[in-house]
Amino acid sequence: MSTPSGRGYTVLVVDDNPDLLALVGESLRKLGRFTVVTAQDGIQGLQRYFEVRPDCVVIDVKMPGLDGYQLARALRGDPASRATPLVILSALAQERDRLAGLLSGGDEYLVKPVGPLDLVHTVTRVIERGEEERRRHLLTLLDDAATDPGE
Amino acid sequence: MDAPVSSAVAASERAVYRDYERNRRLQLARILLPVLALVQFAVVVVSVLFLPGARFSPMVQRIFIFNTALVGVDAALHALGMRFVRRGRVTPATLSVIIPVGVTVVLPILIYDLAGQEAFGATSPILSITLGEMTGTFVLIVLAGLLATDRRVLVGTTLLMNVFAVFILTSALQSPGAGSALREQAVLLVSFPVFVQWAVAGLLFAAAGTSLRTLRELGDVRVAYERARQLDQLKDQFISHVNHELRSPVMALQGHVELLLLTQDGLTPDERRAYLERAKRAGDDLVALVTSILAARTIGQEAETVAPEAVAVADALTSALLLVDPRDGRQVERELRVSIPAGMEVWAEPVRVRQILTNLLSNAVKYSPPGTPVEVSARIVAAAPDEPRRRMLAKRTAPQPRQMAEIAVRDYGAGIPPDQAPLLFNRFVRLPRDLASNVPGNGLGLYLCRALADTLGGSITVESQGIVGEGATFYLRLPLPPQTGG
Repeated sequence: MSTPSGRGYTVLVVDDNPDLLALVGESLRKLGRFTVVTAQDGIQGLQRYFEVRPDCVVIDVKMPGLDGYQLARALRGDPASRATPLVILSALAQERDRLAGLLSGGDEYLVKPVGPLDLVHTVTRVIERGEEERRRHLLTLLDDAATDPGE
Repeated sequence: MDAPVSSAVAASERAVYRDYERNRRLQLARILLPVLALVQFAVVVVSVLFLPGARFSPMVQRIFIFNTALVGVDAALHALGMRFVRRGRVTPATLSVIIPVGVTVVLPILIYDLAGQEAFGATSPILSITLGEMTGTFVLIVLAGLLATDRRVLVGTTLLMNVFAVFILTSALQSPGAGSALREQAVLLVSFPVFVQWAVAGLLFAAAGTSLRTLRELGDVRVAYERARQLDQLKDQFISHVNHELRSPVMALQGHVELLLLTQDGLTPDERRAYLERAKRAGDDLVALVTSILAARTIGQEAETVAPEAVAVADALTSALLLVDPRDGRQVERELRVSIPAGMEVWAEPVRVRQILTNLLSNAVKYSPPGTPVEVSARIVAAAPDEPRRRMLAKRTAPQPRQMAEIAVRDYGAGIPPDQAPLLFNRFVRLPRDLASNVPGNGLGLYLCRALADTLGGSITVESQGIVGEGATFYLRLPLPPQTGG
């Protein structure tokens, strides 16, 4: 499997579980050559976003304070951050959770466990997707999430 | 912790009976009211048709007309009662069955007796009315038995009807129309209705007893169903919860191993070691989760294998503290206030005591803010009369000990809402607040604590007002060693 190149791109990873934060960060760094910035909760994530202006944000759903959905909505609600691709990483595997994740503004909704390579590929894909393609893709995902029965 | 649960069940059982009784009475009123209204109305019609042909003295005639009107009013009251039934108001509906019937049965004949005594003649309808009224008294007793919730109402009504029957029959027998033949059999004539009235009341008592048993069975079934439904919900909740709890450590384990495989050539020894350590930690989390699920399944079966010995409380606490996962307390140092009497011992299995204390201490640091203290104290208390009966230990320490050791673990966290506290010791239960939080947990810790305490012949309870900052205190009670247990 070829490793994608994220050289030049910065990714912000927000997760309250230190081991998972390290895993996602290392995966993006080692396998994707991304520059990685991390935050341990939603509030810190929001601060870090405006400090570094990343090209993509990977967000865990369950976090203290501001949770993943709230962080995604906050980023989508601000014109300054609206266009940044968001990848939501969640242990909630039901369709209604996926739908909630996409509706709160995620470009992709990944259900744990996610392999390091899959993660890197997904991040690369969402960054390189054009505005129009991004919109079309999101509509397809929402359509799938709304019609798929169960998990 | 059993008391609130059992009283909740008893309360729901009572609610089942109450609902059933209420519906039964309402249904009876729904059927009886139109029937009674029609019967009373028919009496009015027959009386009106009969009156022009009858040769009554003017006084009796006046009383007859008054009584006919009274029965008409009672018919109207029954009809009015149907409105209460439609609105589901059971007491007014029941009263509008009983009161008009009572008035119809009792008043007309009393008026004849009290107001029309001097008007009695051979043509007086007193005798026929009296016999009709006798039937009426049975109807009233039956209605009291069917509609009243209290059995004393049935006894009271029967007694009143006894007095009434004796009074009106005695009066009627004295009237000129009665004739001497009837008067000679007065004792038989008066006592017979009284016996029959009690026979009717007896039948109603028996019927009520049977229906109460049916009702109880119905209640049991409904409560059992409700329990099964709750358990089913808990299991669903547990499955989705475990599903969620498994995914993060699986990802951490699998991810680090995969990352190691993909990047091993370019890693420094330190990086490699860090990956492996994180993978191992995730593996440990998985093992802990699986172990506690398995433990929850088998704990009940292990009760017979307990081999108790004297365990020093302070030692058990020290070893339990070593087992508390530092991550539970977010790796922040806590002040631990310990107050355990020197040399205090309990009669238990060291491993199980340690397991209970580890769980309680982990919870204390998990569910309270970093920096707040945790307190552990111990004392000897009188065994509550309903302290669970010793199982294995009963053989060794019989008679049942009068005193027990009580170990209290207190935190200063958010506390536990009192209404949710009893549920906490069940399998797979977490507070709604904790389910929504990021505090890891599988809903088994306190269940295991309770099950372990049970196998040791002890108990575990919690006290909390659910006030943030006041926290919760868990009380573990264990038997004292035989020589000190009393």
